[in-house]
Amino acid sequence: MKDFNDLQALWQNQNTTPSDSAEKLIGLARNQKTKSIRKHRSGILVLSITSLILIAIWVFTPFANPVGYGLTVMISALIIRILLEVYSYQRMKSIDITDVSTKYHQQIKAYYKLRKQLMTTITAITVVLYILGFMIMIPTFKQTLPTWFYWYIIAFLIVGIPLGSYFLIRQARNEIRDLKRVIEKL
Amino acid sequence: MTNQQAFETIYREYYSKVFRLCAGYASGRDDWAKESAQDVFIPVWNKLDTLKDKQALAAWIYRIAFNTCMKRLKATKHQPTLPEQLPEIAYSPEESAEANEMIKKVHRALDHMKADEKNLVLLMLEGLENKDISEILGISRTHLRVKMHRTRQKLKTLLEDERL
Repeated sequence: MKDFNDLQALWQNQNTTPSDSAEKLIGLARNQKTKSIRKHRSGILVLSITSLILIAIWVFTPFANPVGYGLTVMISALIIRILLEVYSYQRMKSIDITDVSTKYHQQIKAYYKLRKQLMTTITAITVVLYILGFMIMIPTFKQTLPTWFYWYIIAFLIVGIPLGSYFLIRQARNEIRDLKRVIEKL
Repeated sequence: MTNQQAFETIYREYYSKVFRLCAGYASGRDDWAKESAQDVFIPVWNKLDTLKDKQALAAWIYRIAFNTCMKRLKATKHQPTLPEQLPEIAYSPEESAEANEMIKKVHRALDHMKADEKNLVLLMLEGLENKDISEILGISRTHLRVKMHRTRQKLKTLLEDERL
């Protein structure tokens, strides 16, 4: 072997011209940042709007009424989810790639574990609570709503719950599969 | 100097260094190194404002490069393999062929090293100071000196191996 200094000089003589211009990279960086923020915020926004609508209905619901109880359970489920999503978003933002390697990898590992918990346990709990809240309101719907509308809601539930659960599980599975691969190797 | 001008200067000055480091993790694979280098300069641009000590720029960029490559490697299902084409080296044709063969050999040697040894060799080849290497790898300087000695020996043995 040559002297290490020779090897170092040889290594450092490898020169590559960037294939992209600095301007293109800046554009890409801006784009990626906006996309990532938008993706996280849109989820939180949808959940927040849904809970605000439910809160508005809840305000006008008579006290000690099954609809009120059902709405309370549904709103609680949504608020738990929103708070945890906000927390997850803050944790993601606090990951610093310029940090010392060991610390950076600890931060990433902790974040991935949090996402995994969110996608499994927390999602399951919030979905069950949300459905439970709706179930509590069904007897009142039967008494107060026109029959056709009541059956419309029931049919919607029969189709909507499995369909919604399927998409939710599929999305969670994909995210967990990616997270698992990264966590295992950290 | 505006942020954009500063970034352009950094990009020009550090692209080859970052590319070499990334290529070292990818057995010299050009496309992987190119994508990784791009992934390195995106946070460099995003975080440029947070860099307080301009003297620490090199260590800061290498830290980002190292973290990016580690993250990308961990997320990649298939490990990259050694290519035929390597980055250009500015020598005469004969010297260039010899130099390229040596670089290929270094890449092959790196493939036979453990991850922590590979990290160390790549940072040593880039000529980083010990204090920067120890900070990037998150190990003490005393531990680093011992590791550097052992790793150099291992690299030497591997490069002298005819079968490599």
